[in-house]
Amino acid sequence: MNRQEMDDIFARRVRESFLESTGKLDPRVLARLSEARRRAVDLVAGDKASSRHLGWRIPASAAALAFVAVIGGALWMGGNSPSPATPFSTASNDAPLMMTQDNLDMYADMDFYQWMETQEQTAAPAPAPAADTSVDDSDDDDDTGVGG
Amino acid sequence: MFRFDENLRVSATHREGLSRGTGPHDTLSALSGPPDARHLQETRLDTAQELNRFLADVERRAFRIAQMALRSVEDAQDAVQEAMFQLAKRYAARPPAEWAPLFYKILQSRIRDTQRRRMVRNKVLSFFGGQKEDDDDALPDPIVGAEDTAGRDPSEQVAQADAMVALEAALNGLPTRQREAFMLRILEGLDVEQTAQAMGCSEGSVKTHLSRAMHSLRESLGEHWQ
Repeated sequence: MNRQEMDDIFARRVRESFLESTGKLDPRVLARLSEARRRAVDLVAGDKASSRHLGWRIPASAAALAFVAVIGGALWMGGNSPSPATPFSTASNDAPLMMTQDNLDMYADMDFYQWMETQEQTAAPAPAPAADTSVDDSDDDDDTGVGG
Repeated sequence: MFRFDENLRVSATHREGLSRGTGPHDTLSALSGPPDARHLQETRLDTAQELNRFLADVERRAFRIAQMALRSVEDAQDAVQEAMFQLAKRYAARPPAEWAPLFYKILQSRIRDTQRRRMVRNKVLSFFGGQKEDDDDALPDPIVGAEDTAGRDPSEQVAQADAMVALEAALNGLPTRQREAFMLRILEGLDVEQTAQAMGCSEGSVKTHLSRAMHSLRESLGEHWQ
């Protein structure tokens, strides 16, 4: 028997034993192999079909992204340049007034100021029209200067 | 995944056809669409059924080859699963005649990757004074203790089991290329051309590697296999 024949016999015996061992696999192993095969086959079965339906998904996704970008950009730009027509601008104009503690105190003591005004009207005599105008103007200027 | 619902629909239809024992064209009768789309679906389901037959034919041998190389049930399952997935994902459109060398090329690549990672892990563990990772994992060897289907007496079964254990040990003592050539040519039964494609080398190299492997194995396994 030459070497080639011995190799052939050896190879045949090894292969027979190997194939026999494949028939004795644990059921858990077989189950997992079947599951792996099923997933691989499903990949082929579903891949090409889904790729046909992928056509509308890409534009839809792009449109959704563009919409979000436009909305986000509008909000960003709107925050940087307020428009007088928007409620936000009114709120921002009123903000210094609302933040001033003195004004709030004045509104809280509105009864006191009304009482003081009536006291001044009853105590002071009525001035002449021409002089009153000049005096009132100067008072207004003074008040403006002090208050302002 | 965004393809999940579509996969479910197609695979359910596909399995329904398979379980009824009907062909892909019977299954397609329930599908609607323009002629081009139907033709595409026919091709797709034909390929899926062909791939199913191929994988069902090779999966046990592939697992045993991976298990013998990796000496781990879990790693072997992972390797075969990955090879199946990659074949389906990347090469399903290739002619079925090319699937075997492609499948085993992926499997051998995965086996080498696992062995490489294991080697690096063992080096790191040994560097830090830890114990080396055991090759065999928690699952028992699926072959040991299995019922003998050939009806042999217990002593013959033991001798056969010992011979397989010795073969696995001897195979793992071979250089990587010799082991791959032996497994693909002798155990899987690929021809020289397919083995060369799977190994990514010339047919002459396959013959050289196989000859050396046979010589080494016969030297070391003579008492079990002569």
